[in-house]
Amino acid sequence: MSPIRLAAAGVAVAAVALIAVFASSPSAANVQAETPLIGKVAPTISGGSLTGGGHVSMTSLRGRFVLVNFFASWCGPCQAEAGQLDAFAEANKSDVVVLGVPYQDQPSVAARFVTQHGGDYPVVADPTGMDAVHWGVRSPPTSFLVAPNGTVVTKLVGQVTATGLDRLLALAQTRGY
Amino acid sequence: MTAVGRAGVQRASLRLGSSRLVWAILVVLLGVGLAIGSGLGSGNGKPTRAQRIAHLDSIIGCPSCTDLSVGDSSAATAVAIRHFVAARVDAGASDKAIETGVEAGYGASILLVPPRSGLGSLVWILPLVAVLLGSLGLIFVLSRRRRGPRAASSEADRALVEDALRR
Repeated sequence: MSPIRLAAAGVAVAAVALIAVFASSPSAANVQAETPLIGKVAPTISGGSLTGGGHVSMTSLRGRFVLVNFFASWCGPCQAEAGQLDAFAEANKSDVVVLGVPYQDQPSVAARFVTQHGGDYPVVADPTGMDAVHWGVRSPPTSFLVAPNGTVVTKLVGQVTATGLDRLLALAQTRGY
Repeated sequence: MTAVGRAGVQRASLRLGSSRLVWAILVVLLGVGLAIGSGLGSGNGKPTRAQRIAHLDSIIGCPSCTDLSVGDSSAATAVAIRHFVAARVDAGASDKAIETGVEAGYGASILLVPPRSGLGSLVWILPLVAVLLGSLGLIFVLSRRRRGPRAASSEADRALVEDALRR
């Protein structure tokens, strides 16, 4: 084999190896982000649930972990994580409540989005976007884990997975939240 | 000293006097300019609702944009913050309280102007300190140069000058 062909083969092998590495690496899910809210009392969210179940507020949910999830029906990662959120909510029913908040979305469309994906958790509308501002949301999906005492434990930017959330919940519980 | 010599001294002192006058005028103009620039001469002091909202919108960064204020952006987050600002202004909140309210969720980096307290205030203070030190240094150097020993003129020098003035 000529040296040129040998070099070309080497480059091709390296390219295939790189593609394999990138393709098999896990996606950027459960990415924790900085927020000044950590350790502070969570901003209030209050209103009638769009998915039924009456009035919901952060205060009424005290005593259990709350995963506040800002989402939108038009957002790709939100669609990808919807099933994961349902699985997490279902598996941790006794410890966690998932609370959906539509971000720049029509309340009826957002509620339908949650139920269509099998979600069985409250969704509270944020028609003016004030809740998103108070929580420091930049884009959907953004989730916050709130401790049973009402303080913010962490902020997750982007898509979440059920296993990632499980690990996070276990960590928060071992740390005494 | 001859009459011609006295006239020369008078002319020199007149030049010195007019130069001081020019400097005084420049200092006054600078002061007036700074006063106008700092807003001392504008309005009656209390900004209107629209002015407050416009100011706040210009110093709060759009969270989902790069180097844009919420006032300059049409992004959904920017629109939400503009609503937040207007609602808080209408509710009677102070500018500081509104800034703190936005910072509470997004952090200090959401503000496009450095904070006026803490470590960030150095951004405001250091240039002033630099200008002050530079001015003091300049004054010191100039005053030393003025006070410095002058070469004493001899009788021959004075005669030469008077001879030149006489011609």
